[in-house]
Amino acid sequence: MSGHISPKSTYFTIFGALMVCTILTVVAAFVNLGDLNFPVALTIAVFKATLVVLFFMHVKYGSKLTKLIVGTAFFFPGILLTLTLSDYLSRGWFTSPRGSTSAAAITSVTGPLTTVHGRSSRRHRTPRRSSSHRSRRVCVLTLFSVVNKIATSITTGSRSSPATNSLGARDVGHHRCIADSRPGYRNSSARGS
Amino acid sequence: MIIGVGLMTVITIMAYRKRFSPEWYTPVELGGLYWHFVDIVWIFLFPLLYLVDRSHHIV
Repeated sequence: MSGHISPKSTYFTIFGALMVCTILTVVAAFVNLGDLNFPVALTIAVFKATLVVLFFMHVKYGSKLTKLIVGTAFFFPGILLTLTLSDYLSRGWFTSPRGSTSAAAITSVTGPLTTVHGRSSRRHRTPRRSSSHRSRRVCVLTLFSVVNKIATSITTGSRSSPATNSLGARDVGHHRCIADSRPGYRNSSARGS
Repeated sequence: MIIGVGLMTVITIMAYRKRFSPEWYTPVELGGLYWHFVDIVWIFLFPLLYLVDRSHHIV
C-alpha cells in the first residue's frame, strides 16, 4: 500500500477547521432560528464529514475508483434517508376521515365531505354528530364502507372476499351503530394533527 | 472509542517495535480509517443527540 504522505501542517489546518466548525455548530444551536436550526446543524456536519473523508481518510489523494466507491457509499444511505424522510415529513398532509392516507380514500371520500360540511381546512375533518347532518352522513358512511370493502378486497385478495362482502352488506345496513362502535373512527383526525 | 484507542495502542506498540516501514504500513492506514469512520459517525450524532432543541429551551 503506497499512499500519499501529507505534511503535518495539513492535518493541523484541518483539525483547526474542524474545531472551528464544532464551535460554530454549538453557537448556532443556541440561536433560535426556528425550523432552520436542524438544517444548519446538518449542513455544518456534512461539511466537517467531507473534510474528514477528503483529508484524514486520504480520499483526496486516492484513485478515481476510490472516489467512486466512497461516493456510492454515501449515495445509497442518502436514498434511504430521503425516502424515509419524504414519508415522515409528509405525514398529515392529506387525511381522510378514517385516518387513511391512501389515494383511493382521498379522491372518493374527501370530495363529498368537503361539499357536505363546507369546510376549507383539510386536516380536522371529523364527521359531525349533529342530527341535521344525519342523512348526509348516511351517504358518506355508505361511501366509506364501499371504499373500505374495495380496499379490503384488494389487500386481502380474492380468497376472503365472500366474508368481506357479507360484512360489507351489514355495514351499509347498520351504518350508524357500526360507525359509533368502530374503534378509531371518531378520533381519526388525531392522526393527522 | 474504546476499540479505536485499543487499535491505536496496538499500532503504537507495533511502531515502537519497528514493525512498519515506508513499504508496509497497512495496519496504520486501516486503523486510521476506522478511527475516522467513528469520527464521521459522531460528527452527525453530536448535533443530533446533544444540540437538538437547545435554542427553544433558553429563549
